[in-house]
Amino acid sequence: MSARLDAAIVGLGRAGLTRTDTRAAAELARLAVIAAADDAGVIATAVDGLVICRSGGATDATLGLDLQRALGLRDLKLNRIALCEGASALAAIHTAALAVATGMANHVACVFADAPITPGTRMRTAFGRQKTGIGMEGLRYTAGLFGGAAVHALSAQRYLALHKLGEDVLAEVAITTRAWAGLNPDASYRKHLTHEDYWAARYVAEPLRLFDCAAPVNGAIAVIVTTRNRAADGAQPAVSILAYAEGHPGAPDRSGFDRTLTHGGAIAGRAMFAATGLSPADIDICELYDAFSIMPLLALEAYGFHPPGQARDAYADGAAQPGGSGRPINTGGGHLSGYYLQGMTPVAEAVLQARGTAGERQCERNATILVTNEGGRLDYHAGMILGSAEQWP
Amino acid sequence: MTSQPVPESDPASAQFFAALDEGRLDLLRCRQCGTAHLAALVCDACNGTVFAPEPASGAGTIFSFTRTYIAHHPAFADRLPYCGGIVELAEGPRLFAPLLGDVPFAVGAAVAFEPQRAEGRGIAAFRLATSG
Repeated sequence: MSARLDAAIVGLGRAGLTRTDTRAAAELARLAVIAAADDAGVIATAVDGLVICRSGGATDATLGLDLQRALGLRDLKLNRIALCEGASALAAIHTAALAVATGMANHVACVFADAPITPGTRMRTAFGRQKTGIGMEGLRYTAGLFGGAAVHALSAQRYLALHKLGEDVLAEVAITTRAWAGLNPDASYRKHLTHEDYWAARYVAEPLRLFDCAAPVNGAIAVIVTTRNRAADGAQPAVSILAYAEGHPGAPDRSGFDRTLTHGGAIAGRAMFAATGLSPADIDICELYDAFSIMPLLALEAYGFHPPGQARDAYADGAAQPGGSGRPINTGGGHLSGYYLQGMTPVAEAVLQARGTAGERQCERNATILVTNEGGRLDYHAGMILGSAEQWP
Repeated sequence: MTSQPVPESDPASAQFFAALDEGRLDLLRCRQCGTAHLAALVCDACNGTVFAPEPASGAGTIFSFTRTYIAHHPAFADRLPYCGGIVELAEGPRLFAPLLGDVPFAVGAAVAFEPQRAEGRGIAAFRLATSG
């Protein structure tokens, strides 16, 4: 066991989060930071640290260090861009935690914003922009593999083939996640998803169908991080950061390695469980990065919840659904049915669950919540275990 | 008809794309440890920096694949749905490649290199290998 960082999440702010909002990412980011400060009970100008999440996958790369000026912040001790692809949200929160724990700053805002939907955007092409690319990685476009769905379909196809599983494994993930979304007023898709609906949907890239892919939105999410002492006086129940670890397997593209299925959660999970003395059995809720339905299955196996090829057991007979017999997974509807704001989507839901303010979908046991972030094509991974400060003072 | 996009080469892949533009599939064999690469300036297995080009056999297997139903690029509009995937060459390296033919593909199926051309550039496509 190792000492915990003296840091807690005390504010959560959201802006946009709809499929009709067409405001620019920078404006949404500004509004989310202001909302997060308001939620934390601090005036926005008390924010003295800013960490902006950057991802190559996000459409608006213009969100930059000058967000400070838009927010009217005149006394920043920290202004930084966290660049770790889809894992940038947790990486940013960890940077913020280090900053407050070492006294570098007192209230650090971490923000991710994206605005893939512009007037006239066809939803199906929001992230599948035309590219040519350079070098060997550019060959994906020669092969016709545009967008995240195509490359994650390669992981899904290989996973199903190696473990001799059917596409129903993916269906259960999509259907479970939709069941949670039905209880979340902020989710994009809340209508009950039947097995018939799932199988009737078109393929995007085999074996991934429409409901196996994230719901793009325009929006922003920000959190405020401060020390545990300051957090105790906050306007909201504080959320403790129990552990953080990254895991980047760096699997080469050649025989003897498997870049499509090697998951950094194996590295990060070992580190976090060793640091906390917890084990997978001690995790009450999982908030897993699920831009595609294959991703939570791979994360559950990498973290040791299930042996390879058996993560479907987590979803069997509705076990991970509201009221199910197992561990709740992606209780806000995740990316699949909720909203796709990369690594901040599972963070936001974990904060609400840890606070006990998740409304109809609030889980009874919420002492330990695992949050995962994935970047690239399973290249970059970050994990964090959050818990309510009341239970983890 | 618009052609499939072909990447520009970078220093590591210059040899690979130059050979491909001439219809050949070439490897770079690390002189120090023997690891076969398609593109490399430094061998990630041994940090070696000297490579010998050699022709690949053109034989490989499907590491994974997907059939795609949406054309994000006009070159693919009239071939929907089409297949692309990752091919593992017999010598070890893997690459993204178009998979040709309407036959059902499978993970692990044997494929063979089939050079194609698009606006003067070479493309490394693969087709299911005929048995025997």
